[in-house]
Amino acid sequence: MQRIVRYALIDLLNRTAAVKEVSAGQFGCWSLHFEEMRFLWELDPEAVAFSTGPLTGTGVPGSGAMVWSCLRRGAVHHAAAEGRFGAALRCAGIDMLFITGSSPQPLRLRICQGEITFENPVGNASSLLAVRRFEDAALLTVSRESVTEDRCFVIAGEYIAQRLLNKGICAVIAEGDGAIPLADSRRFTPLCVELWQEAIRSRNLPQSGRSRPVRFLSAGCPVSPEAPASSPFDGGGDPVFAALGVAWNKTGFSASKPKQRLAQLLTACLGEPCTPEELTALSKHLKALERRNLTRGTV
Amino acid sequence: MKILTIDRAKCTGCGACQMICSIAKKGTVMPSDARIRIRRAGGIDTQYAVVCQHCAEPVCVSACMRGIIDKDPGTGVVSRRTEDCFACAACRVMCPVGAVTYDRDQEAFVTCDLCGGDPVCVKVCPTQALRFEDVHQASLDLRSKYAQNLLNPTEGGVN
Repeated sequence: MQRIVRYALIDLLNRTAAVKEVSAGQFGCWSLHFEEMRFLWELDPEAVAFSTGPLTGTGVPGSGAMVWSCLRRGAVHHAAAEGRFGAALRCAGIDMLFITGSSPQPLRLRICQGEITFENPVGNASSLLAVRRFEDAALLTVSRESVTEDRCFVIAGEYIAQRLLNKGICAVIAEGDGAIPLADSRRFTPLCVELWQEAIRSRNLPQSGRSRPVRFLSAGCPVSPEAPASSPFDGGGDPVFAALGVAWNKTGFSASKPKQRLAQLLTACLGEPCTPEELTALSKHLKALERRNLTRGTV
Repeated sequence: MKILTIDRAKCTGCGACQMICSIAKKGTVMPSDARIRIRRAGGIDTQYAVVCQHCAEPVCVSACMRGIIDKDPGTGVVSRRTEDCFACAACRVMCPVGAVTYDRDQEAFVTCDLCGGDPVCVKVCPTQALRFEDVHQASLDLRSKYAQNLLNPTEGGVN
């Protein structure tokens, strides 16, 4: 199934950014980086890609899912995470990032209303939040150990963090007051409500309490803020869920008939009929892509 | 009379209410225009929901320069005639909880209208921090909590 993806190609060396709309197959998930856009890896094999799915940030339980991708010894390496940044990025008018090159000096990226600016770090990274234009901004800070969202939740581990630091990125802020597209909200709303009520009844939700804030739209998968981001999603989970923007897997929220529910949600979200069989086919495709070795000349 | 209450000890700031509100009211996911908002002051223990409390003595009613905000004596709902709003933002400035938001489509300031008596945010709250309940029951619950807290002080206090 096709999806129009708003794609940002960022060149840190020349401090340029281009935002384009790309018509992507396979629901416009992270496979775009390794298929239609695979030539970009020849520009920079050390590049880092960030993807959101069509359901990221839509309000469905677990729809804080987003995926980091890069090449590791020629093979696809990706790590899924759950947080607010993907939704904030989509509200800022961008669905995916592809970060190439590296800056000789540390810099901060500001993504606001579809525009990307490069800023020299002045003061604490939290000052980016202090001067945000929109309330629902999300801030990423990069350290040697992890990428942290809002100084609270780890959304990427050491490997991705080191890549970003090597490129000179020490912080990224995404903000905007745009809308995340929904084709049929009348159909989508009851599906969403039903899923939340199922999650509540299943009692598989993160421990409640103000002193234990949960990740954005989190349902199930009670991961502490400091836990490695990708651990709940690696090792056997079906990649199709995180790729499409929902953190559903065997350790987290498990809707009854998940692929059927996901198909219904995608139909309402994208406006085109989607079937569980298509999702099974996508799952197989993503697993095959994970095993593919993308060496120079064959990318 | 029923009101929308927020149990701040249970609210985790997950954002489900904000998202579903924007879908229900705007027909799309536009969290900036939702009528219930998650405020984040940074770090742990600082994510919380904010929504119109339909105050017993709403300051916005007297603040409104055009007199378009009213409180229904029967239901207690504070409502406004948005078609006459000229966006002076006086209500927003005066609101003690910061619950007034600007709707770009209506070009007016708006607040929670309880979805006509069936608030959708309550249905998606995973911790049931949001409740739509009788005002007397809500008051009784709150007073009981305060009493319990005096007897058994807990970390974070009450609400």
